[in-house]
Amino acid sequence: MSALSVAAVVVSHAKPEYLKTTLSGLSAQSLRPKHVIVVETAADQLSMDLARNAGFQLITPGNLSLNSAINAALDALPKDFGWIWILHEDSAPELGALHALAQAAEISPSVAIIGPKLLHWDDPRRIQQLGLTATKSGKPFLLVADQYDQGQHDSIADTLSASTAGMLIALDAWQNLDGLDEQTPIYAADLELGLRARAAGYRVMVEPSARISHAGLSMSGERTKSWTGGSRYVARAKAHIHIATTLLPLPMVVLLYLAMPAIVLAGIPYHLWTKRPGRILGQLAGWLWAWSSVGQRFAARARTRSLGSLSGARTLLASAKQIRQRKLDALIEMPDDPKPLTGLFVSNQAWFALLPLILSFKLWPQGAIFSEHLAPLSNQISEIFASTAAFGLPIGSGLDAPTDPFNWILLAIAAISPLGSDWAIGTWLFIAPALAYFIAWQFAAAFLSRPWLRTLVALGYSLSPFVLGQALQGNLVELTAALFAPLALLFGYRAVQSQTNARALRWAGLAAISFFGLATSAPSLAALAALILVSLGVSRPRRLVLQLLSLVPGVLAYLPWLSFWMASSTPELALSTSWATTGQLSLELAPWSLVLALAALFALFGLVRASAGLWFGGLSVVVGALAVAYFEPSNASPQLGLALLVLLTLGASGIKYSSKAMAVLTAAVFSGTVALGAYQAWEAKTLEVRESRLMPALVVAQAQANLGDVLTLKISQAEQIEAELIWGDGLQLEQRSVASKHLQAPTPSVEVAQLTAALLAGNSDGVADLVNKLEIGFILLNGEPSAIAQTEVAIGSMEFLQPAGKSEFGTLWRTEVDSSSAPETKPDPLRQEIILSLLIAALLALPSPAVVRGYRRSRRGEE
Amino acid sequence: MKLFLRLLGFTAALVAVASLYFAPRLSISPDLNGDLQTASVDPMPLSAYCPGALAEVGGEQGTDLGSIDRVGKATFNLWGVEAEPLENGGLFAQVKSKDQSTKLLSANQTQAVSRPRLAGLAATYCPMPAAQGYFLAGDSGPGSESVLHLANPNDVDLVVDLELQLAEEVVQDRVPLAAGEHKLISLVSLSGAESSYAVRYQTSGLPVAAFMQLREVSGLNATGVALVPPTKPLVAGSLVGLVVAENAFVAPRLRVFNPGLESVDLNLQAINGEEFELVQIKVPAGTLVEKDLKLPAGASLISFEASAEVALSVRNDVITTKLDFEWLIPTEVFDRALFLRSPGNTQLVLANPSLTPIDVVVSSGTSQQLRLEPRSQQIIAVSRGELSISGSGFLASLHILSGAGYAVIQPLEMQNLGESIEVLVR
Repeated sequence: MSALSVAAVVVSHAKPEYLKTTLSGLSAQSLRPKHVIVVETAADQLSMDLARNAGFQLITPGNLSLNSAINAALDALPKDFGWIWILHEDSAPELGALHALAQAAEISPSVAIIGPKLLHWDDPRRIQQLGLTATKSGKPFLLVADQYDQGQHDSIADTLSASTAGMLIALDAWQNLDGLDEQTPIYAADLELGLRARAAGYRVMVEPSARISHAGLSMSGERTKSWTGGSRYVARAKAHIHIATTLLPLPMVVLLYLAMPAIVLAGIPYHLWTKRPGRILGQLAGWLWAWSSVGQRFAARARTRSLGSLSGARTLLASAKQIRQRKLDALIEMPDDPKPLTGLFVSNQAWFALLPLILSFKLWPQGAIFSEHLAPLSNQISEIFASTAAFGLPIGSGLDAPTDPFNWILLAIAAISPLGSDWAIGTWLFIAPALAYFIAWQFAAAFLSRPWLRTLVALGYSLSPFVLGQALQGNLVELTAALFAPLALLFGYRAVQSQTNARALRWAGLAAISFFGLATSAPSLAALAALILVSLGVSRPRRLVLQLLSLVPGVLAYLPWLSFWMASSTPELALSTSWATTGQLSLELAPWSLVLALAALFALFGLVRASAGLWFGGLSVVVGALAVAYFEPSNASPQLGLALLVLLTLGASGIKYSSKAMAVLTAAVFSGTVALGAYQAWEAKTLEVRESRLMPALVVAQAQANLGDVLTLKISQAEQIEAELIWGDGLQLEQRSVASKHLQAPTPSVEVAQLTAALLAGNSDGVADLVNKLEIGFILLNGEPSAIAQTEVAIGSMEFLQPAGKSEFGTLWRTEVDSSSAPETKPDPLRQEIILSLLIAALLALPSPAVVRGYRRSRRGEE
Repeated sequence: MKLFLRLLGFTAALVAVASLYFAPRLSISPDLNGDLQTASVDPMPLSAYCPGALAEVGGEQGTDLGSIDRVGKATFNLWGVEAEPLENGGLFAQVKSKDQSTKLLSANQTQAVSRPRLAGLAATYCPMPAAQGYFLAGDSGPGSESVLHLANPNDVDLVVDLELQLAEEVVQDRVPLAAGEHKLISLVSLSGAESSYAVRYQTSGLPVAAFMQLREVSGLNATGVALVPPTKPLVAGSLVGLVVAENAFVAPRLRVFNPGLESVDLNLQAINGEEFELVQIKVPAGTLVEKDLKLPAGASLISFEASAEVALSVRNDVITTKLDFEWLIPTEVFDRALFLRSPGNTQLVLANPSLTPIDVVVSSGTSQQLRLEPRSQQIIAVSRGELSISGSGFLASLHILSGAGYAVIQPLEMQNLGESIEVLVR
């Protein structure tokens, strides 16, 4: 039996449920401490009663720090012991814990601190901590963390430090070292104690046979923030900075303090990607705290280093191998679940995506598409970006209006198009129905368990007039909205349903991007989606903030657009976000209305079987979507498409049994769907595809040389003579805007008309003056050859106009004006914020290793 | 109960959706259509060119190779100006004025000729020179001869490109024209013995006057002559003045040329009182198609619509004391009064191609008011001299049938762009 004289100090702070077990373990020790004193810093009555009932001495000195609490206990005890056994209320020692610690203390006179093997409170088979150290950068590091105890670490002896929970420390060492530093962050206090002990020449050890169950209330964030000095992440950041200040050479410390802002900024993307946004605030708070308390940090460094050299302690720092191993250990593979055979690819249902792809054969990408609602995109991504979230349109003398919000989508389509922006729209139209199949399948998978039912829903949606039909008509905006609407709802639903924060953050990131896509293509539907997402958040308040945050990028992109049209007293125009938006659907008997009516009948199958939540929630979404569709002033097919998707899901949810009747029913729905798709594909007119240039090559070349500062007067001669001033290489799709359709651009109409008339009449009087005044570089005459033949002669007779050839765009003449100043397009003030919010959403949406591989980072392992 | 509630929910949803029908829908104001401006500038001087006397190739006997000479004398009928024939045989009239119409300048010419190899009546309206045009009457088959009149009324030299669309090939030629020069070009060397071809001309810049002279012989007898102004491709139009004789021995023959790159569907209607003939033709790209029209005797109004631009002409053969023929071309609807000087033995053919009746006043010595019913035409005898037709929306042609032969004069609007040009500024 050891002859050590030990005083056990139990520091408690209003956690009687843990204190009870701790005191019980203390009472049962094989080596009885000479004194046991409980320090209840919160004056919790239940805790005090427990201490009294256990027969231990109790003091309640007030809400003190750990160091003060221990010192208060020492003051209250007679000075007849040589060792202090520090216990937290949440550290329950096993029977022989003190005995084992005492034996270790007798190994050498230099041993002053002995730490126990800390085990998980709930699962004593797993080691929580066994000795403390730090990385070379000063980050606190656990030598052993969250491993099953198989005796594999029982050989460990000397460490840099040990947790104060269960620590046995010589009284003289405690007094020489002046205990724990009050100014030290709580997570660094025990590590710093070990450092100082080592500097003073003491030996610090762990004794694996001394076993103590530890709840780790501080590390798991169950202590109040005032106790830990901020959130868990803040406390960790503070501890890291404090230890680094002590441990690193002075030049490195100075550099660290100077580089802190850069370190915080550089860490943001990483923390977002790892789905730990809390660490960003932690690092930020840590930086501000470090700068504001720099004097205290350096004073602590001086105090520690005044005790002696730290060079010996460096050998006990964590090695690179230990750090690598620790990272691997942190990823604990969850037991393999039986792999579900209902996935899109596993169940071979992905092959059905070929159907919408095949039925899109008329959309096979061949180049730039021209239609009433489509024009080519600029072949320079930078030009598309310049027209995204910008103000000022190159129309007439310059139209003071915002560019279309849908330009964000155009920018994205052009950026990801493998064949260049010329082909971007064609490629998007071609693959969109197949994409819609995948999206609708995943949407249905959230509510339906059987793969073939999901396929039925996905085909019904992707081959409907609201998806395939829109693609075949080249309705780019409506088609895009039809893809994003189910995605936004699906991801929002997934975010609410997620059990882990990492996954919820990832779904929220995806929901944010999808909602952004929806808000920039169909704002009325986006408003409905926002309502649904917020409702989902309200149903699970823990995720409400995430749901609200996922709306931010979309709201930021739409806000300037809305405010512009509100200010223009035409708020209805804010509902149309693109020049390419098509006209309002008329209420009539047509394929789309028949499909909806049949889907409503099909939904009745879900009457009995669908869950109440799905049934009433689904019906609410359908009514909402149809209401929005009715009031939508432009093409409401995305709204109707969403209603169709929900109706199909409701109907399919009622099909539970594989009976002959059900087989016939589903076969009929399948056949009808495919037949409808085939009919649409057959009936659809092929979209016009041609070279993407909008102006003759000479004008394009001049525009490129002049960076767009070229003005062309285009005269179209038919029954009606039309004249138009065109800047640069023509109005690309991203330069066209809802505003250009509905707002009159300031144009010198009188002069343009006079010049046009003079050119048509072949009267050169004043033409040169007008050309120079209007700064027109080119004149382009367009029309049927027979109609313009005489005008060609008339214009050709003017000596100061140089013939510049004929092309499919008409006959071109060049004037003596080399360049003219094109109207400026300026970025919207909110553009940076939109990009930033999208970047954050994208980083959150990116799968981190834990998310993708089905691994889960053990939170316990981080303590 | 559960089922009832769900059914109730479904019904309520249907009712809610159906009730929307009574709510007003939101609509967006229509797109801006641009700013319509009217501008006026001084138009180019109004000019007309008459080809003058007919040409005879190879001398009187046809044996003088390379010879091509004018024979006889054309009668010019001018309204608004006085002008003397040029040394080259043609007549060029030009008037500078802002207010341009047929009242300012309107000219036509006639010539009766009776020679062993050239006989009949040739007449034509003298239109404004143009930079390009089409002739579909080309015929160099046995007994037929086509001569192109090309005149450059400008004071600068220019070049005219010719393109002959033959059955198997396209033949091109380039003709230089000095300022004021009038060239007579026999097309036989370019067309070979092709009996049906189209000719397109295109100048290098300024407009030229172009006419095609056609001559036919049968054995040792001359069987007609015609002088045809150029036509232009149209998507839709009308042709007036086609009068089929009671004793017609040859059906009127339609020629259609498609100058485009894709085939064109042509719908053509021939209306003669209650009689109605519908012709549908598919014209391949770059092809001249010929088809006989089975029309009753009397005046037929030809209206056509095509899926793209086509050029079109109709040949009409007449037998009086002599055989003669004429090629008719589509003409424009007159939206204002037409003035011209009528030759003798003339009948005015007036037509209304629209679906609403129109009123016109014809002044030829005396004035008479006429109502033209929709898609109808009337023939009125007019005396030699001044002729004016007031009204809007009518078509007119002069039908000349005499002992000298048969000819049709198809007047055209005389106006250069300049006054009140409506421009839609976008």
